[in-house]
Amino acid sequence: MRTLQQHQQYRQDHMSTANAHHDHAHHFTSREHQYASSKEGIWLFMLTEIMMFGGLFVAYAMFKSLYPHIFEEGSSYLNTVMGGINTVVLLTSSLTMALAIHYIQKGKNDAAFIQLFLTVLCACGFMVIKYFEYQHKIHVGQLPGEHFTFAGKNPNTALFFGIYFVMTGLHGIHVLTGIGLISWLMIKLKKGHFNPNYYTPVEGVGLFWHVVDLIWIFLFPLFYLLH
Amino acid sequence: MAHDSSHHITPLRTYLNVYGVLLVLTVVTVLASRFNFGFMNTIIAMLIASVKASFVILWFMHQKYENKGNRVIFGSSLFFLFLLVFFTFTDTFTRWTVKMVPFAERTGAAVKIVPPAGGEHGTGHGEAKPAH
Repeated sequence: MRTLQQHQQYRQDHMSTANAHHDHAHHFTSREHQYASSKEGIWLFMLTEIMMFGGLFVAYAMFKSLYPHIFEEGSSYLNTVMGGINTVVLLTSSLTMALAIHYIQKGKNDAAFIQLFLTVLCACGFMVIKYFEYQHKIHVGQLPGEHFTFAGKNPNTALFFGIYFVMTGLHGIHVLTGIGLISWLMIKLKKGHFNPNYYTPVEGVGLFWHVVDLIWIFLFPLFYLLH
Repeated sequence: MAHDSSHHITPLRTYLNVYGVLLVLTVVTVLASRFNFGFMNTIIAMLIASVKASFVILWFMHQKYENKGNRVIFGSSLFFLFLLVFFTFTDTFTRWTVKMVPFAERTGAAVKIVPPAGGEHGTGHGEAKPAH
């Protein structure tokens, strides 16, 4: 952080270059300042994301400790293989997202484009697998609410499936949002908007995408593995 | 003006190593779930998930090279999450109505959970109903 005096001095020294290059908005002292501010905003947004899912994780933990038998039975109906594949798919997409930034930082935009494409591909793969999982559950009447017709050993498994559908559903909405955002990055990249000095949107969407992965890292063992 | 940005560029090799660790830990957590460690099941699964999460946060999200401000923002999300968990649990598990439900479940028979009639009152707090 600069003092006002330093700031004014800086403006005087850099006014000509800054205006000539138009590389940052007028209310920032430098491109670096603008980048740091944008990133801080994204981290604040990530905080709200963690708190939103955090509330649901607390609901999960509370109901599970109150009704362990319902959760034991409920999770036994989930397909561990499909959940496991989706975990690997999402971890891979996190890697390709990180690599996309790595390549843009090095000025290799074509390689970055391929990595972004692979990220979208993985995200779509995740949603396809999720679709088959949901389809089966809806078919056997495990969708909570008025559609719930599933008769398990315990008459209250709707509690488990309620939390399952809300948490994985909200996560799925985030994956779909990610697909949209990364596609937008691909278009901007092709148009030549990004270079080693400016790739803030890629960094921001990247952080968002890693949080989506982060949440699944906890959802997978909690729903699919712990019976 | 070119290349004057001081951003840390993580080497390709580091990313691939982190990815390898994440895959190995995924296999470990699936294998661990095949064994029954009793009450430790959840703790083991959450420990592995936390290690995986740390790798993603530190390297994929570059938190390792992040400035203090962004670290505080991220850290505060964990702090507030802790508050949420702590107070929800200390509240919930010190009420005796709640202690009764797992007991009913433990008796083995499938018990249909009926929401208590009359909202807050009549849930076993021993309070007298307000006069109408």
